[in-house]
Amino acid sequence: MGLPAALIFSIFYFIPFLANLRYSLTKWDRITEPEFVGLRNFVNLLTNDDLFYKVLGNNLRFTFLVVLFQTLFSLIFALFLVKNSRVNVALRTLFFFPTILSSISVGMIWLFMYDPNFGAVNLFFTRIGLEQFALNWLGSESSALYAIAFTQVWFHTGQMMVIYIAGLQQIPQELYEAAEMDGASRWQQFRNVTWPMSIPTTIVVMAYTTIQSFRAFDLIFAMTQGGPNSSSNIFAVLIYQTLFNELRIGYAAAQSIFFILLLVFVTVLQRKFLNSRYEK
Amino acid sequence: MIYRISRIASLTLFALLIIIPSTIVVFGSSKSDAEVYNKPLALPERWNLDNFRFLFEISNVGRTFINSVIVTGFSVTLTLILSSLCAFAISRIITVTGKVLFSLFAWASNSRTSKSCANLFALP
Repeated sequence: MGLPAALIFSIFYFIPFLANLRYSLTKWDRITEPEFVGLRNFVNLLTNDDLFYKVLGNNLRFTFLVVLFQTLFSLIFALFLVKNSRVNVALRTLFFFPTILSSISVGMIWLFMYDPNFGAVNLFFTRIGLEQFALNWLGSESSALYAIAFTQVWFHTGQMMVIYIAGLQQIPQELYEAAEMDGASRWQQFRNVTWPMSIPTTIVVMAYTTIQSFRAFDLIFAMTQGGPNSSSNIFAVLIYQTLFNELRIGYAAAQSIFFILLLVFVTVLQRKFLNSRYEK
Repeated sequence: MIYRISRIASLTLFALLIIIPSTIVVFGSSKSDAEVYNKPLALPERWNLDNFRFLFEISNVGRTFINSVIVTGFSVTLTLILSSLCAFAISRIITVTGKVLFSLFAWASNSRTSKSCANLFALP
């Protein structure tokens, strides 16, 4: 019964993956014949590539920040908008709006917003008298990654908020009534009813956000292409650059295998951690 | 009280964060290039649809729109059919096969970058 599925799966996923594995053991530029080099790509990647470690650090920082703030903000907005009043529905629609934009448009919008000469962000900071914040947000090494992380949060918070609202509306109303009878304050209601009951939703939201931000490509590619000096580069963009700009296909394949292992590792770790919290 | 103030403040802030960039884009669609760069936040001097005319006359927006529709149509239809069939099968096959397949599918949907690399497989 599982045979046709296994067949389709192996044609569309497993064979390409094996091909990738094979290319990772070669040196190939798409013009000459692939040349077998054994594990040299992996050895180079781990011992001889400063850029790789820089990108690794960027990737972990980016994912951590986005997961933290996106989960936090989507939970807060979901709590504020959980009741089905007319204003709340309108605001939900508004907050969901960025999600329906294409990521290239979002990149272009924020590229324009962050522009040091005519961008709205700097104009805003100058008008309210905080000139020290009027930076070249995407052009300086210290702020580019954070500016993009902010855009990523702006882009996807609405989507996660909708998942949270669906989860919060599943919580039985009786629990709140009982808590109110016991004289629980709003904070205590959140702490002892809403939060424990929304942990399954939190697991979904965090897992989804982690994967989404870990392999983020489109915003970074549209806004900085990993620049200045690779300070906002993360794996997906690095692999693309090695593959299409430098034409080092074997090396890119090795990078992508390492990337997948890392992603699997992070996801498994997170699931273990969150599930243990859930069972407690 | 604190709850209400923080609620209104945070909701207003995020609403503005969405409305302002969108408004800039909508206004910008009616501005000339020079206006966009010199007065990014101002209202357009003259409301007009020149940029849209340019969009339809010069760039091939109709064709790209049809392409989008084709891609979306195929992927939504196929995803719906295949994923519902798969979900049914996997949830009913509680044997080892089902578990192995499920973990493989879950893994595959995470490995998009790896696939983009492996797509070269199809090239000469």
